[in-house]
Amino acid sequence: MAGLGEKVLSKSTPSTSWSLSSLLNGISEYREKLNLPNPGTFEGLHREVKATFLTNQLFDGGRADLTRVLSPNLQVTHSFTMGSALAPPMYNFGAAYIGTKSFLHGTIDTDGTLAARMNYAWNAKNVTKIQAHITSVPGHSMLQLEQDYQGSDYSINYKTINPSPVENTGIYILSYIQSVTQKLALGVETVYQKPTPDSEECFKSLVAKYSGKNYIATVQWQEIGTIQASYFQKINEKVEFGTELQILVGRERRDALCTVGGKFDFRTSTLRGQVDTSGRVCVVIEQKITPALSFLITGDIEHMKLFTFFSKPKTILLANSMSICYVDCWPLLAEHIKIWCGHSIGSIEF
Amino acid sequence: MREETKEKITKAIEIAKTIVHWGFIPFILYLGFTRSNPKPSLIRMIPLAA
Repeated sequence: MAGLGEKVLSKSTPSTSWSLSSLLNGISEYREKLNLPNPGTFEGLHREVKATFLTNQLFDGGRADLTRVLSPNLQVTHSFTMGSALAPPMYNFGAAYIGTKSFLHGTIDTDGTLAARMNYAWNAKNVTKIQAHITSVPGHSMLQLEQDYQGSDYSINYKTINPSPVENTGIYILSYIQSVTQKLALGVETVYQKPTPDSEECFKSLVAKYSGKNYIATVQWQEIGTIQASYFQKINEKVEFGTELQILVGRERRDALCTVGGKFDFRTSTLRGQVDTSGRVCVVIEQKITPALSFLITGDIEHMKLFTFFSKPKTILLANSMSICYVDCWPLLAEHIKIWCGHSIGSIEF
Repeated sequence: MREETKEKITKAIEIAKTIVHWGFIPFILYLGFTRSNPKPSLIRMIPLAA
């Protein structure tokens, strides 16, 4: 840092900018002395807690994934889904290219919907990310441009969603998170929305993250009236717990949801369980039969909805599912086959 | 902004969208097949083939 400081000093000759640069230099030197850690990304605030939950692991119907690793840089995935009560049968082809600086991933399904993701790392700190979702249905396509910068003790992220230079519309999100002490990090996010050329909105959101040796606590406040608090605790190497509280205090409706999830690693199996205040209970058990073969059973019941008669007609799905994962590894060329088969016990309609 | 320019930009975006829509996956495969080391064989793309 001293070398950089000298460079700045030799370049700036006028006395005013000299004092400014020495001030900046002093600040950066002081910051370096504090030796604060990087607070992580704004998006990844709730990552640890979400990992103990199993929202993404529940499935319905049969599914088979075949992954072929063609070379260390290229892999293709064939994915078949059928028999789901919620979605029609589908075939999905995916391809991923993993380069030294770039990462490209795309999937296309039988409806012709493309999901594309492209990352390019300019250096270790600066990453550009592009995401696109293109369908033949007009108005359903999405484009997201993202620039991520991770400093020594701060992270900056800039996002643009569906920018239109013609209409001058789009969503622009800027977030900044800074470590204040070794344990505490504070962040702010601004969302600027322009859905039509005539209307515009701006929301602010504040976060605080306190992380200890084996726990992380976060609080997020959004201007639209939501508060989200989460707490993650690692009890030992094999047991992790996460809890999350979401409170919505809008003008029309007030709502709150608290979720508790736990993850237990055993010698040959993993058990994840989750309970929330809406009465939903889910469990996933993953049993490793051999290193190449694992067996998954999931169950999901929404207790409260069974007894709610005054709300709108709704369908409740009681589902349990099984999954077999088969992994065959050759040196360098690995192949994964994952087969899911779900079975709905029944659905009740009011 | 003039109406003509607006129309031109909209049309250019539409064309770019179509190119990305149908060209992105072939582009990934092209990159993978030309830049990988060792070079993969095409037949292995098919599921369960040798």
